[in-house]
Amino acid sequence: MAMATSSSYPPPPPYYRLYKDYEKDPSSAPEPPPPIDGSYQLFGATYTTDVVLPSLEDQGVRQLYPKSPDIDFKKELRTLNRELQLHILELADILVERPSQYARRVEDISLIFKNLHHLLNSLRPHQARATLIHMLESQIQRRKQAIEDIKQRREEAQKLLGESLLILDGNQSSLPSV
Amino acid sequence: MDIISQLQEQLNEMAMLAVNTFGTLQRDAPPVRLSNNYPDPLNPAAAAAATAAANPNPDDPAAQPQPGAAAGAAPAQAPAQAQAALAQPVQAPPALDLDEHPKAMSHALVLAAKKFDALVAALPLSSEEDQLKRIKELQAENEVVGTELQKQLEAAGNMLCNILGFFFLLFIDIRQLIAYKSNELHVLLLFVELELKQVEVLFNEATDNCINLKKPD
Repeated sequence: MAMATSSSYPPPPPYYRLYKDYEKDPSSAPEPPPPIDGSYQLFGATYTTDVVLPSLEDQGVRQLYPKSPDIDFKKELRTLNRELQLHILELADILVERPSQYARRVEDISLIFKNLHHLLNSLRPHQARATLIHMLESQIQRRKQAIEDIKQRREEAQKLLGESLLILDGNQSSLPSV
Repeated sequence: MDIISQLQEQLNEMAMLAVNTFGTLQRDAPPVRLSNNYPDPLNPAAAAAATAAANPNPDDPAAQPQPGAAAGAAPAQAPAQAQAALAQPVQAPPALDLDEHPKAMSHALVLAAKKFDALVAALPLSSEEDQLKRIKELQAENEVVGTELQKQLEAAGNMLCNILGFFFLLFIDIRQLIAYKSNELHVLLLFVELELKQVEVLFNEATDNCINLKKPD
């Protein structure tokens, strides 16, 4: 029982021994490892730090829209939407006429949905750039507003300072000499 | 919710409507007559009556007279009721479900497809080069505005130091003024004290003269 308990939990890594004198001398402990770049293994699975949307071919799905760097997303989305409606109608016909052949139509509908979702996922980098543009514009707007506010406050403070000095000079000149 | 997430949700909605449409139709669809040799599942009474008319069966208990009047009356009523029940066609499911549901579901599917098209039309798309160019322009402008803001902040900080110095000098002036005024008061008090002493001396002389009945000089 004890052996089973001890074998079910692995021991902690032995790195903790290297940090024994960390409080007294921080330089005695090794530096933390640098950030990983590229692919790495985690619990037996391989991951990568490059966050790239895998293509439909990599996922084993046939691509229905043309492969080109400049895709007209709106046109392809509308086309696939029409195709989807058509296939749903065809499925209804097949279920009436030849019900045993439904599987092919269902697969076609599933393929169209996968292509539609992949197209929408491909729009996410564009959305990220648009969000960055929006953030930069709002930051520039806020900074310009802050500059205007500071200028205005400085002018008001300068004006008040001048008036105060004039008042003080007038009072000082009216004082009798000792 | 951003428009791409709305499009994804709309796609899921269309998928759900499609599968629900087909599932409901398949669940509620009435049976179909496969051949003329089989009875019509929607109208078995007509089939049974046609069969009975074509082949009259002497062993049919419904056609035989029952013994006993009372016993005969009840069994006579029972077959009659059974015949009347059989004579009526099987009550089909409410026509409303079969006619209205597919219409409503196909209407919902078409509306979902139109909403998807409207969302696609509303997508604010532009080319990647335009976006990257705009980002570079905004970054350069941000640098310039940031430098200007830094200068204004430094100038405001300097002004704040000047104002603090001004208040410090003002505080010193006020202290000097108070000290000056207090010195003036002190001098006045000294004069007043001297005068009081002189008045006291004169008063003492006057009282002495009064007591000694001397004439004043």
